Amino acid sequence: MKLTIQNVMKTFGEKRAVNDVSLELISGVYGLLGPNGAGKTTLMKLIVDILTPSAGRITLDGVDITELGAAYRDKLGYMPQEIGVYKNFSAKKFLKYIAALKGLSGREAESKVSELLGLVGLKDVANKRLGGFSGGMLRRIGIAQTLLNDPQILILDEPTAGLDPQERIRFRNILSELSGNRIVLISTHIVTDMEFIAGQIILLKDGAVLRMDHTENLIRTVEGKVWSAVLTHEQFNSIKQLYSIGNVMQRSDGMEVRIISDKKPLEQAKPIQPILEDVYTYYFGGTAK
Amino acid sequence: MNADIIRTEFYKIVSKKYIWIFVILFSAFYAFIFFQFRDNPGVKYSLRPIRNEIQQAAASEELGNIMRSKGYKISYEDIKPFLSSSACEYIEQYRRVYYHDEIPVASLPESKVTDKICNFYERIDDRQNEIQNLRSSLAEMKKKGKLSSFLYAVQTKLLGMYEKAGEIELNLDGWDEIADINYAWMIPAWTMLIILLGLAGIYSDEYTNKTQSVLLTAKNGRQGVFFSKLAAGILFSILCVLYFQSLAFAVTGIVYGFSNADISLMSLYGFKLTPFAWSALKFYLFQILGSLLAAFVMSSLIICLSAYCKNALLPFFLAGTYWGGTFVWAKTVALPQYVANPLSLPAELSPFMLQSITDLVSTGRFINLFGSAVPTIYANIIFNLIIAFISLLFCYHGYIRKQVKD
Ligand SMILES: Nc1ncnc2c1ncn2[C@@H]1O[C@H](COP(=O)(O)OP(=O)(O)O)[C@@H](O)[C@H]1O
Ligand SMILES: [Mg+2]
Repeated sequence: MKLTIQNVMKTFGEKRAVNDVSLELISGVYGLLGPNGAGKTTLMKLIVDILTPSAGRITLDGVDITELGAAYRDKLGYMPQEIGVYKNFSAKKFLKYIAALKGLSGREAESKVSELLGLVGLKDVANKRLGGFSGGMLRRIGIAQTLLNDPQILILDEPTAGLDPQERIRFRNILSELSGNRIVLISTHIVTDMEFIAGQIILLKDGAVLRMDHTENLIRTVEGKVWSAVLTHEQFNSIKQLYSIGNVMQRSDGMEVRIISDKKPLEQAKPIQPILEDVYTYYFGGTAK
Repeated sequence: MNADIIRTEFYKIVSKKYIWIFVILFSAFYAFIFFQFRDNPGVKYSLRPIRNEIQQAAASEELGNIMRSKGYKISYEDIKPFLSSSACEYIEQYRRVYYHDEIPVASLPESKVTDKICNFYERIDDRQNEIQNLRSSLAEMKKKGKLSSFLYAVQTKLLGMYEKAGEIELNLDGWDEIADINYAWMIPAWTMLIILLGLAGIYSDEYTNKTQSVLLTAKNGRQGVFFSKLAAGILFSILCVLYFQSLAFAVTGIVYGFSNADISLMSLYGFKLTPFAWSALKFYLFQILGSLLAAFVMSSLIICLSAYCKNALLPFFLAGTYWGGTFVWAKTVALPQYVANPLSLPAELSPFMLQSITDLVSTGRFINLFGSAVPTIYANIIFNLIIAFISLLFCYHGYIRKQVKD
């Protein structure tokens, strides 16, 4: 199975939300990283065929996805950035409805729904109205919904936004349990989520692919460019004008700052082992957090 | 299409609480209004027990002649000799009873029996005059060589229909109120209001709820959802029509009495000039079919609008304006004799006139359709079916290719 995105462009008026993107996705987990407005959501909508490209085309094993239509959607699991539900439906009723839309028979739906409610930890509230669910619970319903048809192509738009740490761990576990021959594309602007999940990372900036590589290769590209230094307030304020800043930690003797720089930024700076977050800071610039 | 999806789509429509509140309010209001008439002396002191005697009296040539000589204005005393003594006894039993302590009840059955018989003759003669007029008008046109005029075609057709239509009977069976159920505006308007309220959000709510991306990316989320929503919407509108028609039938029947004898449509008060050889029952059933068709048409229209709108208000407003505007027009504009004109067309082709076909069938009404005279009622049906067809076509094409921009 090969999902090919060929010179795809999407414009909204003057704005090029996706600008000449070409990608080839085979089975594996891909992290789509980019700041807000980079075009992640737009690219995903194009991939799930709810937006038509202004130029270029998207094919699955050589056949245009619009041509495949229902056959393509049958393989698809999509979790939109803003997942909506019917407030007066119970969790179970909602999922059974989506299951029917995905072509599951009544009996298949029954067992699949209860299996997935268990997987996302919502079995106890299966018959409760969705109107009373928290944001995190609704996201979990959203995740369960995408998995109903056991999709081979899974497109998740910021699935971890609004989840608490426990829910994040659960989400990671769910993804790692999804075995085998699937294409999983996850967008996020929260990098730490991707570190352990994504085999490959796609960096998207201003609608264009900046880089696409295996996670460890990407991390290697910033090796020797990540520094750590303990700074006073005044030093920090002048440094942050000059360099991209990663994580900042308050300490008793000042601030421990992660600085991303091609050259040694300060006398006292020590080179340290990069992580994925540093890749993000390196390519998209950092702000003190 | 799949039964589970249709069921859920139907549930989405009927799980809106305000729909039920409106239905309950309307039903209560309707019943309340009508039960006011229950105490009405015309209802209370029915002529039904002496139906046969009155019919016999009315059939008398002699009484007919008296009637015509007096210009259809005769009194109970003129009729009395033609009635049996038991019938007179029945009519006169109320002579010393007072209704609400004021009106002597006796006058009511007496005037009613007089009215019925007078009206019977008057209508027979009116219809005969109309037929006579048509004949002379046609002869006139023939003389002037206007055989190819559209009016000639219309009148020829109308005369043919009249000649085949049968005869006026004495109207004693209480069909008038049943036939008027839709002519009064309440039942058609409320049916439509509930349908429009129920279906305005059928697609746009998916946008509002942010559920449409999930629907549109599911295997059956396009064709499947289109046909399921259509099926659920039509089912809902059928149930609305049947509910309000049953309510009206039950309330009207309880107040005015149910009739078990059918009668020719032209025998009813408003229909003396109808060219259609229908019975009252047939008219009533056609009107229910018309209501179902109108409901289907308006459902298709609002479903289509909903598929193109981002909230339920706009489709509700647009479809409501279309129905309401043509309804008000239908109740306002004076319909021309025989042939529809551009001013009367919006009224004569309106969905309301499909729900309430009285104005279209109570006299001869025609439309010039490419030179041939088509009874307006058929033109209305064709026009409305075209609206439904176009709406569904646009809806299908719009939804099948729908994009989610924001
Ligand atoms: N429907 C739209 N109309 C106009 N501009 C849009 C629309 N959708 C997205 N954009 C613009 O396209 C760019 C990419 O947006 P988006 O794909 O949502 O980015 P991301 O998901 O990475 O935050 C943004 O600048 C956004 O304002
Ligand atoms: Mg986004």
